[in-house]
Amino acid sequence: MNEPRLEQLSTLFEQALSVPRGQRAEFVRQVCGDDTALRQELGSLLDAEGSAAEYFDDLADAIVSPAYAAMADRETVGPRWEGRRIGAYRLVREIGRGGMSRVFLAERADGEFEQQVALKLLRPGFDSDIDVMRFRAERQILASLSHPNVARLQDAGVTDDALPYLVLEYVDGVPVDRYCQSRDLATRERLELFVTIADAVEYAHRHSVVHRDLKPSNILVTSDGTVKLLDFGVAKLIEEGAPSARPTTRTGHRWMTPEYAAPEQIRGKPITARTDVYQLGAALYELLAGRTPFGPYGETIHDLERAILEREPDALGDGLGGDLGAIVFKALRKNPDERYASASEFADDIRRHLTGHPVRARRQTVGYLTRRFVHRNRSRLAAAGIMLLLVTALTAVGVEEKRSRSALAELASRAGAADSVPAVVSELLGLSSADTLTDTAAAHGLVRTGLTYARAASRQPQRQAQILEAAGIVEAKLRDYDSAAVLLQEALVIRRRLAEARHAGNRTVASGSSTPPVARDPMRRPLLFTRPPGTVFMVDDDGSHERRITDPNETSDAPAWAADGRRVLLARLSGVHGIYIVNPDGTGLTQITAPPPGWVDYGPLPFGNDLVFFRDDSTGLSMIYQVKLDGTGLTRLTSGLRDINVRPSPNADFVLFRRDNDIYRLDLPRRIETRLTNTPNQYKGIAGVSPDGTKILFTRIDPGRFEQIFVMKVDGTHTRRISRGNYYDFLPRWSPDGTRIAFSSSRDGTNGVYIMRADGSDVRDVSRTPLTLAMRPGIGVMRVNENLSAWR
Amino acid sequence: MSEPSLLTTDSGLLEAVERGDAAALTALFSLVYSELRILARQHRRRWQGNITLDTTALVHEVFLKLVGRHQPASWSRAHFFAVAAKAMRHILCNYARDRSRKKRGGHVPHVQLEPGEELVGRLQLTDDQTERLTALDEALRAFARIAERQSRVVECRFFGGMSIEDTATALGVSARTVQRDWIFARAWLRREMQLRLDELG
Repeated sequence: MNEPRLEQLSTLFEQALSVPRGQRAEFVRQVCGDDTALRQELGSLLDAEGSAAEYFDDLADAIVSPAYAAMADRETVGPRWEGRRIGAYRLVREIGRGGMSRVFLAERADGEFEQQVALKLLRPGFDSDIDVMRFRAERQILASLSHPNVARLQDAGVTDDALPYLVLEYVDGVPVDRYCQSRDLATRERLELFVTIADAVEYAHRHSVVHRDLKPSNILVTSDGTVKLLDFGVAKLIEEGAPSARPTTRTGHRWMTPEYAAPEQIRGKPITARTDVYQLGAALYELLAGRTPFGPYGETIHDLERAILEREPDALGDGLGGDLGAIVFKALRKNPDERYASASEFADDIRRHLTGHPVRARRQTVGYLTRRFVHRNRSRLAAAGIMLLLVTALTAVGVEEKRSRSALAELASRAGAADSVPAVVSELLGLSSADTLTDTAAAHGLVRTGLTYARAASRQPQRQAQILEAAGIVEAKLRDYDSAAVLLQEALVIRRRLAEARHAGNRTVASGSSTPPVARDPMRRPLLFTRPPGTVFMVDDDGSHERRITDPNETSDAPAWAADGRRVLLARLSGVHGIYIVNPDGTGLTQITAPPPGWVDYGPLPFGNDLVFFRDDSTGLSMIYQVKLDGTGLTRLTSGLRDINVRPSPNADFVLFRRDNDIYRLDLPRRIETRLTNTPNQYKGIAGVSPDGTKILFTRIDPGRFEQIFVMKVDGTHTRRISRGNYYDFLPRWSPDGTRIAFSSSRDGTNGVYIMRADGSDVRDVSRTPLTLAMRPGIGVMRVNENLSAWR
Repeated sequence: MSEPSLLTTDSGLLEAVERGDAAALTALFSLVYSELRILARQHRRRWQGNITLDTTALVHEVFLKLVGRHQPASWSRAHFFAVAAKAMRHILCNYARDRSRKKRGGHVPHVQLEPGEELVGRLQLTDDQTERLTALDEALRAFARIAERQSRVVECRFFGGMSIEDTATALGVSARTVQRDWIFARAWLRREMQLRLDELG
């Protein structure tokens, strides 16, 4: 198969995946036409796709992960368990393996009667003593559960070598998500199945048993369509049977599955029946949308937890909004009190939806009730006059709802500010000096709360620095080194500022109103930066006067000063996506562009009086666009690119961009593309065009070597390496007059910011100049501030 | 105050690994391997819980140690991960291939890496797992000829447990591209592996 053919195939493949499963065959027929070879290729790939993710996950779990673990000398290969006798059972073969346990198919060893069971053995190496008494008491409660849709706990015990085990009804079924998928069940059928599940959960709740780890793999459906919930109460049994593991919190963190964890589980807050309601919601979301609510954000556990705590899941998908969306989202509320109070309430609302009655998840507003009423009684309300009246009423209701909502938000934020702050701070400080973090979820929570407080404590810089340091140390212990570095650097800036103020003889230090040590250039604009997950701030280049620009409930990124020098361009990634312009005080947020659905606009940069930005299409290719500040004159400048590195020229006569590791110049307005380099095996980063518009500053990594700084003419000739020695030199910037270059470097063994002449001579360390860095975690810590104080 | 590091003491090593130099790979792997063991002893307690994520964290820590704590460019970190992934693929697939050949009575040249041999010996892979690995290796080789980038994505993601972001950085493409390649490659390889496994019976 040749290259273009593969590209075509992979594009069609991706498009097909976005088509609902039931319509894919039709889609394939349509796009392939009479190209039978293509049709066969595409069809077989789509068939394979259904099982591919699971197949490779299993393979990685079985081979690659143990390989790394074995490298780390971890006990992976213990004694063989098969054939061993445990209690009255003999292990037949391993049928599953979870984070903390191995599950075996087992049978009665005493031959009294033939019975197969699932025996769940806690993982060898599980490092705490088991409180056997408690374990036994708890198992009595579980053993009393008797419901046709709940797999029975038959027995439990502790092996001779002190490993706890559970004996459960053996269920020969498939996880509910796979069941729905393989039978291609319609939405209604999925909902009916789900109601059965919720009813079973309700039964357990009435017996005071909370599941805590509901997820599709714990909900099996047998071949005759019977639902069986597995592992009821097992998480609690294990967790509370091991009291030494977690003295202070009641979190089920170590036992829970991160993708399905409720916010309170991550925060280490008490677990209630509403935790199961949340997990039921997550399961229903997956059954309907085909993905977990926060899966897309879950590259690492840290990201996933953050998303679960802070983000709203994406909408369910086509045709699944409205009532159904409201029901699922009500179950998935962050605050347990806002969810359904019980699994039966949840189930009832679905029954209501299935019968076309108003659901509780929707606010019982006049507007909604009328909409439902109209829906059920369309024929009788055909009179146009009534319809018109209703429409008018609905509009008014909408406005009213919006108003009360914003008042609520304000109240909530005021209440939050009064939260018991000192306790949080002292806990965080304690954590930072602890040897080991036993509870990472609680640590994450503390860091977040501490930071909220630190941000608010701008009038107490000492305290602020202290919290930032503690938070940084904890982050480092949590191995989020990027965040740690950012926090510690931030603390350092504050400390340095305090020291300088003291040195200057200031008797009192009033942060927020301290006079900058150097007179400010009236044209110099503050540095813009984004704090995760997406709030835009600005700060003066001496680190003072930090101001928030965007609403903290919004997600924005890539801020830049507009050409008018007074307003800020940014990409808004929540609400209505697109490129926006906003006043530095956060007012006047105005939309410039609106990407088509599924596309993303990103990275606005001033370009003369206009701006250039990226638009990512749904396949992930990026195109550069130009548009005027008022949103008119939208023009696409390039074809699809695989990455996003663009730099405009100061005279707005060309832009530089990167394609397949090479630098291109695009002359405007005639849109003539010129490739300036021809070394696709060397990574390059375009840093900028010199202020006089004649030279291009960029970095290059030759294979196996370091990142180094180069300059060439704008026609691609006269390429010269500027930085000397074997170091990582990166993120270079021109000085405003173009005579010097500032850059970050790892020379002398530490990160630093340096300035050299444009010919590479006279390298000086300017790291001590106030605020030479921008705070962009994950991208790099020591970023050169465009408004570097040291230029003076 | 810079610590001696892999990149500063011998920048040629990574380059050699990139070129496919088997000796360099052995050297690098030994280095990574012994570091992992030392670290694991220190951090045994952390090795509970999700194993895949811990793999990433562990390799990350080894990277910091070997490459030095003062290297800021995210490029080098991701690049290192990619090399570790390559090393892991090499070890596992060589072992699987040898075993498959042995099973069919073929001639087996003894070219195992010393630490790798010990490693896979301890894994006690089943015949079925060995067959799958071999099938994956063969399918991936064939795939690389028509889709080089996509095959490298598989190497990073599957054999290195690398995140989408790190893979994107290591390969110099966008995260979206990695995501897209990964889903496509997975389906492709799944299909091809099945064909191979069916042939074997």
